Amino acid sequence: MLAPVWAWLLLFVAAPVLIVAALSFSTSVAGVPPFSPLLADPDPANYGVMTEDAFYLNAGLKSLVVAGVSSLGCLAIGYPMALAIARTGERWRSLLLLLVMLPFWTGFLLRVTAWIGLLRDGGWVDWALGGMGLGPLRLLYTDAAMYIGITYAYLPFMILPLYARLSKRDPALEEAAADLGAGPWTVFRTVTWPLSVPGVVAGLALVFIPAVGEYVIPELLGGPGAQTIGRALWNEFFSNHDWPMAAAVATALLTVLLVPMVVLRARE
Amino acid sequence: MAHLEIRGLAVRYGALVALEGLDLEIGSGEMFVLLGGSGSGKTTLLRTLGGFIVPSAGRIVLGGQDITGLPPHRRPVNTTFQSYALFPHMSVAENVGFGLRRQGVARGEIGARVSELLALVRLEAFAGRRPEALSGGQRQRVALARALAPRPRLLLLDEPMSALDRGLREQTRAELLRVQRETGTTFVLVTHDQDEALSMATRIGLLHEGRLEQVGTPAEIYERPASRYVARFMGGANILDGVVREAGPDAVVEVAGVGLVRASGGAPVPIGAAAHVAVRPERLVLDGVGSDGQGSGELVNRAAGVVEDVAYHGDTVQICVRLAGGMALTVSRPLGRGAAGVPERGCEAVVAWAPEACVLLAS
Repeated sequence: MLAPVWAWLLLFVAAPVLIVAALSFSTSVAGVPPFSPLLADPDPANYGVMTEDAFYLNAGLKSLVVAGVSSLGCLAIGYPMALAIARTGERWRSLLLLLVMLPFWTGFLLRVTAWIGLLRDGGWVDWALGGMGLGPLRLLYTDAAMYIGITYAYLPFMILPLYARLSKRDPALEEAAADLGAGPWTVFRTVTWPLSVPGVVAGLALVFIPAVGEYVIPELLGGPGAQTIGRALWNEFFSNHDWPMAAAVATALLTVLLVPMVVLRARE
Repeated sequence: MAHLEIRGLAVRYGALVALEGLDLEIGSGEMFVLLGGSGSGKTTLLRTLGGFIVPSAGRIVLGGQDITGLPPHRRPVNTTFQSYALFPHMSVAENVGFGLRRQGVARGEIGARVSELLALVRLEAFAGRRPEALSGGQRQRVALARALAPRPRLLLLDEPMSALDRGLREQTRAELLRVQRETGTTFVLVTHDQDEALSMATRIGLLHEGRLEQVGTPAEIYERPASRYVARFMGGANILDGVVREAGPDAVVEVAGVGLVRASGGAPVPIGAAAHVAVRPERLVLDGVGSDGQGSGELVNRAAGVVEDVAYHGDTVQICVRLAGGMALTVSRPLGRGAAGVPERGCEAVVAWAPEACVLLAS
């Protein structure tokens, strides 16, 4: 019964990861392909470079901060939305969920590019803030623009698991809490929130993990100083043509992300 | 003055009327049972008392304080929900202490009060358990302890026994009555089970289509139903429709297909008016099949028919007799030692009953 599952995982998950891992132990050469034969002479030098050159560590930390702040931003915006949708009557729910997913129907690049128009000097956001007496404000090519972009792009990944959890909650529990003297905020704090934590964890994981390796949004919206691990990886591949180094960065990133996942699984 | 006073209460959703013109007074320490079928408005009334529904009109006064506009968390009223609604992420003790924490009671005092309540519902050994590790009956008791912990002035119970199996229900009734006696709290219990209502209530309020059909003690409701609906609902009385021929304490009603029926109980109805005669199945006697006279009075009312159906209930047998006129009467006979045999389906029988067994109801 499970054989097809294992075959699928082996072919589409394990094999590519193992190839990348093997690649990280080869060395860069001029030619096609631009690396020495895999597993012929394993050399951990790339990992040595990563520990010695503070650039990689800093980029990694910056990415973790960016992903962390963006996931919390998604949670702050996504939780009220998910709760509101879960509290809406059956009739409107599917429409609201459809609207949450609607952005996926257009290209990701196009939507990120649209933010350039919104955030650039003299763009709509700048113009609106100026109208309120807050300006001129430099937004595009700053960390703020990057955070806005990532939060925007990953918001649906937060809302959907939260909604899935919140829609299953028993309204009688919230009524019982109110009945026993809890005001609206206390009902949320003591009942709604604690029971939704598994959804919060799922949403944070779904946003945080891809956001760590995000390359396109920091590149298009962020400042040149925002060196994230995704950009470092891209540069190794396409500017330096150092595939083994890029593979080492990718493998290190995967390892860093895998550890907390394994810990989380073990706790459950 | 009554402990709980409800005046002109109405709940309407657009054109839909859930409750209308409801007046009710409940005394302190009563076990008041709201009885009704589904859609009668009993749950709506309970939720309105709890503060979950804002009434369209009317007032609710509890212990001299008008609570009509207060939200649930500001009312000295607690509820046990039909599903119990225990917090799954808290232990039994934390569930019971929830209301006390909201009142800002000191930690040590909460512990003492929680122990006291767990002792009251005999669940001391379960304080540390999660609700999921409890049986249905135990959950019901936790819900009761949790609702009683903040010492509410009124406790609402929404179908507390509906999720329990039969044997446990009997036990839980006694348990609820004991807890009510020991705490002296005013209980308002909602049920659709007339048996439950009769055995537990100090008084019953029978709801039908958003209105109170009758309020009274179990004996009053059962023996002197105020309307055809109450008579049918309580114990499934036989209803004979007819026209009054002689008024007064010993009335005579002409019923098509049966003839003249003498009825000496119930409300006065003038001569010539349409009326109903309600007779309970256990007050009817099958003539010719061992006439063990039920109740008092002479069996002067008689109707002949054919036994159509016989249903065995263990302690009683329900016999359905189709009368010559087409109407069916249900006769209930006790089955005990020495009781005469059960009639065969299809045999002829005469149903007889005393005027005292009848309740006359205005149409």
